[in-house]
Amino acid sequence: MVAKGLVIAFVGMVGTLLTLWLLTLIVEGLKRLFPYREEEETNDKGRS
Amino acid sequence: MEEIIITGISALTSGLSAITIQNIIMIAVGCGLLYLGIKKGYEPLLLVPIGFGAILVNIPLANLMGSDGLLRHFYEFGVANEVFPCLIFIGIGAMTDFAPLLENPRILLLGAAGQFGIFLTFLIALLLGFNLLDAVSIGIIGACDGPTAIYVTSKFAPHLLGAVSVAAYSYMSLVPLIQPPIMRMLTTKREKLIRMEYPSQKSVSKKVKLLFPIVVTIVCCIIAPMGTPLMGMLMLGNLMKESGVVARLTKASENEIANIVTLLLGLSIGGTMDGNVFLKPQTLIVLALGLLAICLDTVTGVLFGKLMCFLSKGKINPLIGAAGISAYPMAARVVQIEGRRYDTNNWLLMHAMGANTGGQIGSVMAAAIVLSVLKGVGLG
Repeated sequence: MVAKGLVIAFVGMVGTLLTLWLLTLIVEGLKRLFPYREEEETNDKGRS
Repeated sequence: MEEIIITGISALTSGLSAITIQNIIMIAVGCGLLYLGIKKGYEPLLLVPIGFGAILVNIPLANLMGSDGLLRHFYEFGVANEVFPCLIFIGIGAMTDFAPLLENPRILLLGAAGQFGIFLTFLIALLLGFNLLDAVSIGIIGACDGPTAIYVTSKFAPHLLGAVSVAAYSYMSLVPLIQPPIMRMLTTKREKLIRMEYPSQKSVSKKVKLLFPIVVTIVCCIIAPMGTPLMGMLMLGNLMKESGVVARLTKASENEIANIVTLLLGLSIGGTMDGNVFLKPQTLIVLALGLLAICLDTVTGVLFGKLMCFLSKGKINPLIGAAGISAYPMAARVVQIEGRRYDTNNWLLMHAMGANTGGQIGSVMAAAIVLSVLKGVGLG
């Protein structure tokens, strides 16, 4: 059971870290794809 | 006539004669929780209904957790089927601003490191003789996230629900006492004094804020499908908030729905604290391991912060690693206060908020991965 536990703990830690690292890369990508433009944001605010 | 009077009087005293020492202790515990919530202001929204629920369930002969008891109905209605934690997550998502995290996405990694205590505590619980599912439920206290802990425990170890929930919420409220000594011990004075830069102008567009919850849902839920109810509801709440087109639903999620569910959830958890079931050495061990989980989370978060500080050549203050444990927004405030103890002009709050929201995603992701792995090995 401890061996099973070690596997779960290892997969859990590495899996959480890798998933969040992947999200980091995706967010960086999204920020490049849709950069902040003050004009657009002001228009959006005006509309809402 | 005399007999009727005696029978009537004895009916009124039957409660008193049926009360056990365990009931009395748990009524005292309930009063203690009420004291912490009302007088000390520790998580009152949860501790007040939990404390009162604990008193109610220990009233002899009232049988509120019996098959037809009121608290049993609340429990079956929303805890046993995991509906309440998910509903609360919509509200949390609607209240969370991920902008500080999106400004500096790298600090999302601190949200992962801040969950390692879950897994370390899980291993310690296994070594102490708990079975796999109980150990997972104990470790998840380290998620520092009440609904996540309740979700996992009600699935795997409902008999530990009372202890795990009380540990999760009371330790969350004690974060300002638990974290600072660990943060001070693990960081040098030079590291504590690091000032982190703030972007000169905003760098996150509305489109990115809108796409973020959708992308997180798709990516995380595909990787760990068993966490979809939690992650999905958290991100739905955030999408509603960011879209701005469903203001009524957003408002209801963060107010009416969250309030009603919090009340019923608290009462249901209190209902699991029947003295005849709750009072055993195992409960004390669960409470101790819960504290250990939060300490280990803080240790791993700060150590990972130190690693990021080293890799970024001193641009990241390792103190913000402590906010990676979730416990939003308490942990971020602790970081800000600690940072200002050494430099009154050091403003770490927004960076800590980023790590803190990263911790929220990290805690749900950690739980989702555990659920999915357990399912994979045939235990979920």
